[in-house]
Amino acid sequence: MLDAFERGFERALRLLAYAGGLVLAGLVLLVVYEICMRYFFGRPFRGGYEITELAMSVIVACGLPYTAIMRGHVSVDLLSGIFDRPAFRWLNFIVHMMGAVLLAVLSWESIEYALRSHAHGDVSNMMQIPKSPFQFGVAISAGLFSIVLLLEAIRVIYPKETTEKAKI
Amino acid sequence: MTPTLAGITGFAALFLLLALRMPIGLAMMLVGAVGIAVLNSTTAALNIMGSFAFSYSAVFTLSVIPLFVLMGAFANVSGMGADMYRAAHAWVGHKRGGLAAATILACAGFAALSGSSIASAATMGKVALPEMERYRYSPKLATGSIAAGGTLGILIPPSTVLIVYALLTEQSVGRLFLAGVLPGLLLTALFVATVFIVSMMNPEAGPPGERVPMGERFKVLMNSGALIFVVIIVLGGIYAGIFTVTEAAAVGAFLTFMHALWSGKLNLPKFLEAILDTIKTTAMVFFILIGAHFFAPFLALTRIPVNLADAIGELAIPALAILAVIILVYIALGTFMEGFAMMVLTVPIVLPIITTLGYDPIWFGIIMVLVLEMGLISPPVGMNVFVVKGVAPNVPLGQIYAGILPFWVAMGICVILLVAFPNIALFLPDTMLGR
Repeated sequence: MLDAFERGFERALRLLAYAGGLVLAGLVLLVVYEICMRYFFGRPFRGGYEITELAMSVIVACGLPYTAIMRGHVSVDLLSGIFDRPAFRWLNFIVHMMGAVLLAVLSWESIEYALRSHAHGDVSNMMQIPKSPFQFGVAISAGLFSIVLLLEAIRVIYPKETTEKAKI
Repeated sequence: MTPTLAGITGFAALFLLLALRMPIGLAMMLVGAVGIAVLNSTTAALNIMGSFAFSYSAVFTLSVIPLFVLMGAFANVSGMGADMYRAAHAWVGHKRGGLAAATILACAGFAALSGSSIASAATMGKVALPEMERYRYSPKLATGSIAAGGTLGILIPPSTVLIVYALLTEQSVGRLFLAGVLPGLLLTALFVATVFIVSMMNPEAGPPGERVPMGERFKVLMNSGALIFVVIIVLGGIYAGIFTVTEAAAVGAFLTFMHALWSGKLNLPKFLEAILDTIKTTAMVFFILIGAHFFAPFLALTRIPVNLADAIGELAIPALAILAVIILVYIALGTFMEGFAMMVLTVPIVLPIITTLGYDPIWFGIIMVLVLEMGLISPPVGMNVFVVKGVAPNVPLGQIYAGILPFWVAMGICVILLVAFPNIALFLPDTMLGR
């Protein structure tokens, strides 16, 4: 059950990361278009700056949970030999849970922040793009990241079935 | 709790969490948020938690990071690194140790397109190692030159590490890039000299290859034309003021994409892989940066950086001695900490000290990158070494480290030269961009 969920979840997060990649590819085209407009047509495009900013938040939000599930976030592995022992299982569980709770709080606070920004009608300077959808995006990303850590915490207590089978 | 005591407790907690393998971004976030709650108020901490993740990812200047990473990823797909290696091979391969020297030169060339040491070492490892094995190079020299050459990736612009340093210290990215050029060339020369010295002392280490006729050499060099063209457009465009750094990064990504497409090596799976790698690296960097933005206000509240800088400024010890201690501490930290994380953690504390001592922050950025590079190839945790080990699984780690040692010494010499002659770093930015 847990395995199936984890596989599906990983696939979903990878699709999300691809979506972020397409936004990045779009950003490349936007900047190149901007340069062409400025040099060849003498008409600078004014919205580029804020579109880039908002696109960056989408790119980061799309990438964070996938990087987390692929264990791509940097940690210090110096003492792995010690802490991988079964005796330290509970400690690893607590560390993962602390991360999961922290990100859950962050996600919740980000939702509140986005709601406030929505209520104020917070928009970007030039093109009047509402900011709240992007802030909701970041909040959802933190929530997904929190679920990844929760999964890892559960994995510490119930290691993967496949590895157990491999041992037999 | 006094601010200083809170700060010390915070650091202790941070190191404990890091030792327990909490990702560094998460650990800085946790300690920063709790610290702000203690020293200021819970409301302040919660407000920061709600707003920072968005405000520190929606940053215009930071868009250069994914754009440059994407440029490197596409350059990788189109085999620009391999072309560069073949060109260097044709020119110096017939000399004793020539293939290892070619590896260093190709790394330096590829570094001008890639901002990451690990990417450079991985790319060159796959191309250069089989060649060196074919000519019966000693595994020590072969793996050592790849691991060391890879570190040029973060010194020669564009460099992700320098971009982050620029953001942390509010310095100009363009100025830092320019400051990295001459030290990058100097280090390349020192590495090549190291290769020749090693192969002179042990002629078995690097047997000479076949001599390639002059006409053939130029033909092979032309194959690297695309790489040279992109580098000139990107870096030249920045310095001539035609593009901003962000625009140059986007143009570079666009050009390497077009080249990969034109060379017929880009298909959908390769495209998706390049994009996914870029997104992963970007998310990794941003998560640490967001964490650092949680930690920085906490550190400021403790007043530790200011007090420490004042205290050190009043010491009756020459500035040079303090600088030496800082560099040695970095080298020691670098042996077990990931370089990027180490920089984010230490810059808020070290930079006030450096400026109090009267040193230039741009120059120090280059010194710091060099010292981080030394950490990238020193035991027990040398990321580049692990990458090389991945490419050369049959060479024991001990031998790789032994092969790296002479290059590590060369880097030490480079640091000493930079301390003695700061103008190696500052000459280009000062003359081209003004003081």
